[in-house]
Amino acid sequence: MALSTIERFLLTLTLYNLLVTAAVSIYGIVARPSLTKKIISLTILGDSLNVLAIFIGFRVFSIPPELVSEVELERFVGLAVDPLPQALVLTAIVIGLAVTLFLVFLALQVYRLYGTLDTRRIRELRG
Amino acid sequence: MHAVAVAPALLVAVAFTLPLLSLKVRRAKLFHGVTLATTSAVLVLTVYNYAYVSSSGRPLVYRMGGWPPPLGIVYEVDPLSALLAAYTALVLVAVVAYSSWYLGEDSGLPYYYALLLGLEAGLIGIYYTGDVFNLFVMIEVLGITCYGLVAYYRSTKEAVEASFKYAFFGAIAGLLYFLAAVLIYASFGNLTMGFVAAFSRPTYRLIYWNVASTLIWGNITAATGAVLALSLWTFTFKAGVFPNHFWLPDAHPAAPTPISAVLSGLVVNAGAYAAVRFLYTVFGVFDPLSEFYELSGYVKAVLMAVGAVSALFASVMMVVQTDVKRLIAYSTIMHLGLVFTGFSLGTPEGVGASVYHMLTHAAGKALLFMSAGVAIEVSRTRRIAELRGVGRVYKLVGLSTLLSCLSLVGLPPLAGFFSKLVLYQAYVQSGHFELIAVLLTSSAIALLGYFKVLYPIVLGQPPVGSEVARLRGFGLAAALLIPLVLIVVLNPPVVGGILEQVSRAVTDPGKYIDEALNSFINYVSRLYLTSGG
Repeated sequence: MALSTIERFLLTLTLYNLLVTAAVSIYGIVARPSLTKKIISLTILGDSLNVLAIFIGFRVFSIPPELVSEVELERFVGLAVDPLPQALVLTAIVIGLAVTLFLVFLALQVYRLYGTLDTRRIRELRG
Repeated sequence: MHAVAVAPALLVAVAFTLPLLSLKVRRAKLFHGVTLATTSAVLVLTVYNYAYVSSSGRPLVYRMGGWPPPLGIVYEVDPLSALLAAYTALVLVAVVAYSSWYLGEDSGLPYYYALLLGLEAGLIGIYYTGDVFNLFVMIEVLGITCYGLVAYYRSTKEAVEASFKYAFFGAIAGLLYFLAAVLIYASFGNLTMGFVAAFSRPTYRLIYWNVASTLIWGNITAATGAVLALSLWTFTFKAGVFPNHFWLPDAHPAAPTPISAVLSGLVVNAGAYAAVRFLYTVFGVFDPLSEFYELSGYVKAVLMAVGAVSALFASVMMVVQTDVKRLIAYSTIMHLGLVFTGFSLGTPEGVGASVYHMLTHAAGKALLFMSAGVAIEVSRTRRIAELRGVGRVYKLVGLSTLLSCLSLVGLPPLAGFFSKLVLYQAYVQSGHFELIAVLLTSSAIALLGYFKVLYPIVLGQPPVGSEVARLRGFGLAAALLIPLVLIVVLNPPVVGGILEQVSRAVTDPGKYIDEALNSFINYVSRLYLTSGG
């Protein structure tokens, strides 16, 4: 089954979209002075990489990876989307949640101690 | 065989029980006791595993939930991972004993120990795992416990800021490794290290295998290059080596002293171990039989540059520090730089020497942090100029400061000398004379730094009466580590055989691959027989 031009275009668009989103989020991490903005950029980077993982496991002309009856085994093997990247992404999302929560707590603690979330001000206050 | 899986599971179970226990019981002694008992039990288990692996001469494979390797997650323990895990467990027993003195009746004790046990579970998980994605999970387990422990004094500016920096860049490093794991899956079709290693070596290619998704990753060597670049970023971050060292001099001093000892002595080793596992076992970059041998030139250049620059840079930074814990933290960067130069050689001698240096550095660094911690506690400051001469009152502290400093410098009768000597011989054998200059220069510069610590603690003004605290945990910690530095690790005849076995297992991963493949074949054949086929 060959891909039509429009399908190829859409798949390529998705891939480049993900890469550009990742690049923009890295810009946000590096260039934004606010800790909140940095954390938001980090979650965007995480999400774009997660979607990239799903994209790698994706197959065109596919069916969902669920085995209804053993009769359909051949069709399942031939057509189903690879479920493993999805399982990996699920794990990564949970870990990302924990790390993000911890970072948000630390940002709150930084705000309590310094009275600001601006990294430039924090550097000045530290002296 | 099941002892492999018990250690991390036991640690995690106790780690989650401690905070629950604190709802009912408030006695500090209970938490000290439970943690010490748990870490001792883990020490017994890991030593048993090491004895089993080294005597049988074959890696141990443990299948999680009974699923065979390419489908399920496996733990695969070879001599290198077994050795490092047992050593980690040993140093952690000393650290827990020291913690019982350092933290005493602190109200956060259950949480502190929960995180410390989680950290040990993460470390042992990293060493034992035979699965690329499980390594990611374990790196994150190790990461989040470390961030938590660095931020233990959460009302101090220094700790919160250091922990934020560490956690934020740690999260990015974790994401990059996740991407690398996904790329490995896309290119090799599985995540088991033994199977990826088999696919990397044409001699092992039993079945025809093609690139899973030709849409994106057509070229397997290019994909592997990307995987190595991404994962080495993460591993050098964990190891605190030059371009990714920036968090270390903030995070290590900000943590409570026992945690500084763990971070500097043990956690950085996990990064170096993971780099070796990937470069040597999984992709066989330095193995002429491997598909990716053509990458060896780049990898060698990168590792060598990274190691040499961090050794030289950190030794200079050491000398200019005024904070004792920061100084010791920079010394960690220097030693890990030397370890990476050893790994860059690609020879069994280089690997053996680097592993040896990792071991002597871990013991020396943990002991130095612990004894400097006593001086900091007594003099209530971290400024080197104001440190009290604790060594005059507590002979044990003075002795352990002296021994750990001299071992880290590399003076002849001590362990650090032999590991540097072996490293030197490895450089000579592979003809890298410029690295000898790096080793000697960085050691000579660092000598000044170590004497800045050594002098006030051993010969400085003795503390006055009221500043003297009781030292119980320190005794046990020092009693464990001093002989370790002096006798066990010291002796090349003792460790020589161990290191030879380790470096052979690393540079020739044939057995590692065979065990993973056998595990799969055994499972399938048993399935075939029981189904009456």
